[in-house]
Amino acid sequence: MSLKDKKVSTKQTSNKKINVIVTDDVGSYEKHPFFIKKAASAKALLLKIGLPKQLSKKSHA
Amino acid sequence: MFLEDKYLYNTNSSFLDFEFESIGPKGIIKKVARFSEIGKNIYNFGFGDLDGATGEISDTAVSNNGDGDKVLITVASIIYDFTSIYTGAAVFIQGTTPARTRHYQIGISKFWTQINPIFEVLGLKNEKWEQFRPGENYGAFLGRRKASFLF
Repeated sequence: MSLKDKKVSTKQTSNKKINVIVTDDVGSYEKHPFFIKKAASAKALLLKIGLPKQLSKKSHA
Repeated sequence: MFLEDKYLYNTNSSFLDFEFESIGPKGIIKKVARFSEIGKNIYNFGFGDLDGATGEISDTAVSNNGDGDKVLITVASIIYDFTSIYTGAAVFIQGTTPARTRHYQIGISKFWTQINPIFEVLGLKNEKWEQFRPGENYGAFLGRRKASFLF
């Protein structure tokens, strides 16, 4: 999927209204310690608890 | 979706990072959010206040900028837009503290009539996932678009 090909518009088109502005001014927070820590914590919890049945299935119900 | 007043927000071409500004009596507080992939089509939703001077992000401080509902609606709208692009993705949400998780829970309950038709939401209780019910206490949340709204 090419995200650059996705149309972003603040106008309402059918049922898909997107209210976001896409800009290069927003950097990537992928390597920010806050989000790394949050993701690690979430991953650890899911490993311990497991996924719900609905998400354990390979396809949507 | 979410016709209530919300902040305009920015993202980059990945649609994984989002930013907006909370404006109120405490001044301008920059809010940042990131969807981090933690499993196959499963993303953790992280959200907090960005300290422009230090670059640190925190979700433990209570901003009290007088716009709590507006921020919640903006967050909900961000999740809606993310799942419009990453169709089929499940979003995991848990606050850094129980109080923060409860804040999310209050928000989900408050706007449940708008959320429920479009999202399937599960809550974590006693280490088990169950269908979210407004008014119940949960330790974390997992949500994704209902099949009829995947496009």
